[in-house]
Amino acid sequence: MVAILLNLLLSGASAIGFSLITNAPHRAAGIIGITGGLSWTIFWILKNWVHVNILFANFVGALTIGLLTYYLSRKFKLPENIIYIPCLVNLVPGGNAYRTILYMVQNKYIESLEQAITTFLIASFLAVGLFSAQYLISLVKGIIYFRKIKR
Amino acid sequence: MKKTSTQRVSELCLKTGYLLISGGAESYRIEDTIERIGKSLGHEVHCYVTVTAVFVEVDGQNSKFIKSTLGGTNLQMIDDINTMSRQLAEKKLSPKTFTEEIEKIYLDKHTTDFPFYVKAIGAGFVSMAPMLIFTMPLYYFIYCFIVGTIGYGISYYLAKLSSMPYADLFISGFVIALLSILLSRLNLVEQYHSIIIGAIMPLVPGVAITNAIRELVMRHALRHALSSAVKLLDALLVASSIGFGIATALILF
Repeated sequence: MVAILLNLLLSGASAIGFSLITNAPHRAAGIIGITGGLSWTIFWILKNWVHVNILFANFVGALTIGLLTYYLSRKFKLPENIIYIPCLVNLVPGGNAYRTILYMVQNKYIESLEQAITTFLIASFLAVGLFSAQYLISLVKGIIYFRKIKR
Repeated sequence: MKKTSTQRVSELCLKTGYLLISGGAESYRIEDTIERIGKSLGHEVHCYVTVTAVFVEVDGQNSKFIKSTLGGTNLQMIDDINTMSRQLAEKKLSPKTFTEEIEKIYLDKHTTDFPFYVKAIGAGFVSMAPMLIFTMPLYYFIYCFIVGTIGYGISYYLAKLSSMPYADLFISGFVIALLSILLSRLNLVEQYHSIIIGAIMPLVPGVAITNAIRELVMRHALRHALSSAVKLLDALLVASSIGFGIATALILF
């Protein structure tokens, strides 16, 4: 329980930190903190307690960001990318990208290639998660639209 | 509604597009915003955005383009212009004041910005995030915070001093690796790799890579392949310049 709270707090702080670097508007800070903290904590629980594949955990994290971003950006009238850019920073594969270069320097080319592929896969799955959120929302919108027409 | 001349509308749209690109907005969002601004001024505007240029055509007769460069991310700029265009569409803002505001931002290329020390502290917090994965002892967080702040500060000031791209990232990567190795030589930490991973976090373009892939598939498939390719290439160059900076330090020491 303490671990969850600590994760929530630190990942929220880190998302807000990145929003300071990218110069996000002041009123968005709280929203970014909540979204970043929640998405990271879901990723962390899935990865460390449920032990699913890291790619799927990333996918679910990105999906959470996408759905929350859609709701909050409309509620507070903010552009979408203001919310999701700082939130993604916790999930992006910085460690793998670093190890790609590290192994390359140490002449371990096979391991380097492995890490490069992992980096690309994680980044792709994050993008797929964000895309799926949009797709789900547009599907739901379509269903609502066609029901209205039928009546 | 009184119509503004097509000449002035096209100039206004170009400037808006230029500002949005330098703020790091997505291409389809920029096209949407510009076409909506044209509509609320009473003109039919068609727009095409690659990240290196903006093309605008007003009422099928006045077409222009502007050359732009890929800048950093400035979310305040996107939010300001977005709010103004929304107000323009709701007729809360007159076209004259809107034009003046855009001109003003275009001239100084500056919005309200956080002071440097706030950004540096933010960078420190970002550096602490990857430590959560490795579940390190608490003092690692503190070292990560310090090294991350220093690395970000170096890249911030070098980017202000010279407009040459990528060199600042190389140097700050080098310094981060140097400091981390120094920490382990002084027996303050056991392994310096996790410190390096944390400290480069504010600089790495993970978000840019994700954005580029996202832009490839969003809204219209492959319509923005050009801007996506530009962003992906930029992200790769940024990543490798940081990586080679670190690699140089690792080889030397």
